[in-house]
Amino acid sequence: MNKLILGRYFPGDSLLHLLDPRTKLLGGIAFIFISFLAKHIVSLILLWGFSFLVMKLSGVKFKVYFRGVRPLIWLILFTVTLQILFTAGGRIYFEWGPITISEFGLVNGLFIFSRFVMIVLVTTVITLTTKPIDLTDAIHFFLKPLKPFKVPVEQITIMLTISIRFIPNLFDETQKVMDAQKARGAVFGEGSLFQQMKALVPIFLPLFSNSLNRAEELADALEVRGYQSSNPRSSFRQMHWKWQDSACLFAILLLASVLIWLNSINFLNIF
Amino acid sequence: MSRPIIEVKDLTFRYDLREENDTLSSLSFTIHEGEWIAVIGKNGAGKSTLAKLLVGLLQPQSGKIHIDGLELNDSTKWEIRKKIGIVFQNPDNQFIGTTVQDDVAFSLENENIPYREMKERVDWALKLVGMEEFREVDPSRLSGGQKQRVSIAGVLAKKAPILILDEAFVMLDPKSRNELLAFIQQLKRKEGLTVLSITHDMNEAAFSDRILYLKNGKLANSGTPEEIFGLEDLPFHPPFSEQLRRLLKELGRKVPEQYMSEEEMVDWICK
Amino acid sequence: MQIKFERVSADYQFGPVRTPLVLNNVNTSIPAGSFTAVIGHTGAGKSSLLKVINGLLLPKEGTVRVGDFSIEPGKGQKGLKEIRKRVGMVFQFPESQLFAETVEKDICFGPMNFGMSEGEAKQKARKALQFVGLDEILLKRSPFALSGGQMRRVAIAGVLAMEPDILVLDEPGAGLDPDGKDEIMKMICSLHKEKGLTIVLVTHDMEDVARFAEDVIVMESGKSVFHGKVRELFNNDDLVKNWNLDYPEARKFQIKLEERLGRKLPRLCMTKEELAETLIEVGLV
Repeated sequence: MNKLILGRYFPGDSLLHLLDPRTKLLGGIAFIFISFLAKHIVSLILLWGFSFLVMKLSGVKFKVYFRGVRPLIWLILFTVTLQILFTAGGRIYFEWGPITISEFGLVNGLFIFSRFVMIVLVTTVITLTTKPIDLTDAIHFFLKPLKPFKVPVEQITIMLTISIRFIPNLFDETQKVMDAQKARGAVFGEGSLFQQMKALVPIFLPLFSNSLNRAEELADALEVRGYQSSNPRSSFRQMHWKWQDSACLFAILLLASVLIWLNSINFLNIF
Repeated sequence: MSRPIIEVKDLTFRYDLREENDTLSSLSFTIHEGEWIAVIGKNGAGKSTLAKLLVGLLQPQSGKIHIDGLELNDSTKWEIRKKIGIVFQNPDNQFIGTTVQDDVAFSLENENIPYREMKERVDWALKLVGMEEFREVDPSRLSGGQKQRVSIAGVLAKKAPILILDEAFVMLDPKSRNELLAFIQQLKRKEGLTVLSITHDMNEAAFSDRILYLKNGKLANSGTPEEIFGLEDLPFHPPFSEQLRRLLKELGRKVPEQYMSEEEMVDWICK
Repeated sequence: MQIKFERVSADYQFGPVRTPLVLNNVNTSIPAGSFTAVIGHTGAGKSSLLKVINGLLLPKEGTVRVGDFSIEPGKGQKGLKEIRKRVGMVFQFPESQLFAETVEKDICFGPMNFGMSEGEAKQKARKALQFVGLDEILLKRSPFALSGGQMRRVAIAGVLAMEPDILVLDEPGAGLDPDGKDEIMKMICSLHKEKGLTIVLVTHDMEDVARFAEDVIVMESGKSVFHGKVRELFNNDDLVKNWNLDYPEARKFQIKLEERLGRKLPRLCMTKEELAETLIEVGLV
């Protein structure tokens, strides 16, 4: 739990920290799409370059990022291996029953591996340099136009905000309940899978019950403080668009255009 | 005497219609602007439902409530909630913002107050409660007492003339409790607040101008702290001087029949 | 059963970070059958001291001895089960640990974890429930259907059913109304007097310290800066001032009175009974 880097915020004052959360949210989603566009080997190199640039500009050391990828590496390698062994095309290097290792398979594998890792790296950059509450503000901004379509935008936003607010509490309470049950002789992490799951009931149930109590009390507090999701609300938290944000989006647009253009070139095009 | 700000007439309420007895039974009282009123009573005497009834979180079976001249009903409750701020028992379960200043601003956002004015009010309120240095701190790093201070700041920022303390200091250690009580007394003088404190803490009740003593949902007694602390049957231990007086009487010594403060007791012994 | 702290130091680990020491070279022992209060400011290390007794917090240095068993670095989790069987721990707001479908099942959780048969555990559960002043009828009810005060007593019964030799409590009266708190303290007192349990009580309430405890440990910045008789502590004005502690109400009154009188009373009065007796003795009332 402690080693999972994805999702943690590291305070700082790098360029990435400075950017508006909307830029980062949009940019991140755009990057994911773009990475699927890449079909040319030069595209792959450009995407890797972009990823490294973004990581450098975040002010966080590379090794922190790679440490963050490590827990996922087995999942990634597993998927990639499946791809390599079960897709065929071009020159065949090895064949045995349903398994084929081919030129196409290998190159495709490389692309898939790259895509996976780059997406993890870039989204990690975003979560490391953006406070969860800022991301929520960005999500709220993009969901707002959906209000006339009866999408409960305000409710979604406040649910996200409150969930974020109480995450540290959940950790604390879990620890407290675990301690209390350990003191009564409960053992965690030992025995068969079934036994281990059963041992979690004395943790989950109290947490769940506490959460229900909390929800009731919060609902009262929200009402007394005048919260009405149907009424217009102002925002104390302000987002400020800067020239760096425009520049960043422009850069991504440029990258996307280059990638699309490269796709139309046949030289060095693998697919 | 200043004008009445809370008027309760013949208030009757019960949680569950299947229950035999009313939680509150034909309760009537008036609180004037600028008073500090304590409501005391054993658990189950009905005092815990009073706060919720006053802001329309619960509906009485019968009776009327007027806040600042306005009768409380379904259509006026949101207007009335602007005039009342409640600090509840659990410091965490009413803290909504992800940082101190976000939480103070919450009520103002709900009233759709423009940013500039919000910023001014939030800054002013934080200064008043002594939490300006903590404005960007997240709640998981605050003590219970600090969280309650933030809650009070939220009430001040809202410019609500009425502050209800709903057993607000029960979960704090004695030191924090006393600090906050002294602070609220100062605040009340400075800002002209009306304070309604629902409590089972004798020390808290001692700060009030007048005490309302509830028994089985009815108003059994009302008077100044000196008058109430002399009663035989209290929902808490009386002040030490009174405990000593009663003990000496039990032991057959000649002691004055009425309540004496600590000063008066010391004087009497030294005579 | 006695508890010995031999040069115990401990800290916490949060991910890659180690906190500063929460316990710093604590060297003292709590005699078997005694009633010891643990006082000190928030963050002084009171809760950490409790947790190190049953290994919820493992010492970084030093040894904790509970009866014949010991906890030391390098030993890991060995022997903890034996210790936890004998050390009943009641945390703050213990009602938040209830989870079972019925009160009976919840109370039986502890005893059964330590090897008791279901039949035996149910017997202990019934006894424990009675002891905390609740009716047998509640055994088959869901713990979540009870009032807050009842839930707390069920949680305490769950610890008592394990029949521990030592009872460790962290502010057991926190959040309760005066009546509820009085009853809990009475219960703890009788556990001490009638059953001879060793009691360790963390509290902020000096009345409880004066009225119930024999010994007191003062914690400050992870160190045990005082461990002695309660009278000794409150008699020593320098100590009290130095560690910024509070006096029980009776003592505070006595100090005011002595100031006005211009002379001291013959003895330290920690409770109203002592004060009344003393005042009568010297003829002031």
